[in-house]
Amino acid sequence: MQIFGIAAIALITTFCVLVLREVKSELAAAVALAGGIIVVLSVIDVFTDIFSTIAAIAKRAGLAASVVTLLFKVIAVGYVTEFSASVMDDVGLSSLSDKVTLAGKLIIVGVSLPVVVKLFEFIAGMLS
Amino acid sequence: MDINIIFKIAAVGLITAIINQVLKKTDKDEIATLVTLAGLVIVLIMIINMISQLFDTLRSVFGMY
Repeated sequence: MQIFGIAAIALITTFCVLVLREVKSELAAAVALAGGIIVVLSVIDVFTDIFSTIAAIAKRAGLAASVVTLLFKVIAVGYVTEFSASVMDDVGLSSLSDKVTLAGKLIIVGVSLPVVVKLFEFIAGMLS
Repeated sequence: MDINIIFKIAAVGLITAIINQVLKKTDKDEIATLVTLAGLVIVLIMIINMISQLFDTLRSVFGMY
């Protein structure tokens, strides 16, 4: 099963980071980041299967394609923001990670504004 | 994507730290900082390649841009 490989990689990365912290090297954070990237990349093909099935289901349900692509874009932005914010939290730069999280939230709201506007128009149309 | 990248980066970190200690003991501190910078640059190049690969994969998975 995949999880054993991922757990092994994560544990090895943890010990490498501990050794590097012992020697007071700044590269401990780099090793942690590399380990995180490897774990994510080894799971990425499961992502692709999930998202293609979701897209197929959404298409069959008759959802507008733009809404589904918007959903994927929001998920992608959210994930990248969380990934980088957690790396900065690791190193202790909580101020920077808060700023990145704020930027991610603003981007998500900016991207999803058209749908919200469409929703309000739809409601207004129904009420009038 | 396998484990030897992590070992490579850890090895670079370890070697630069040890060389740092040696150079500091023979009070050549400026060379020590240069060694640290060199190690950092090498590792950063590796990390940037990995990050760009991750973001390209994410872009292809989510069909962005």
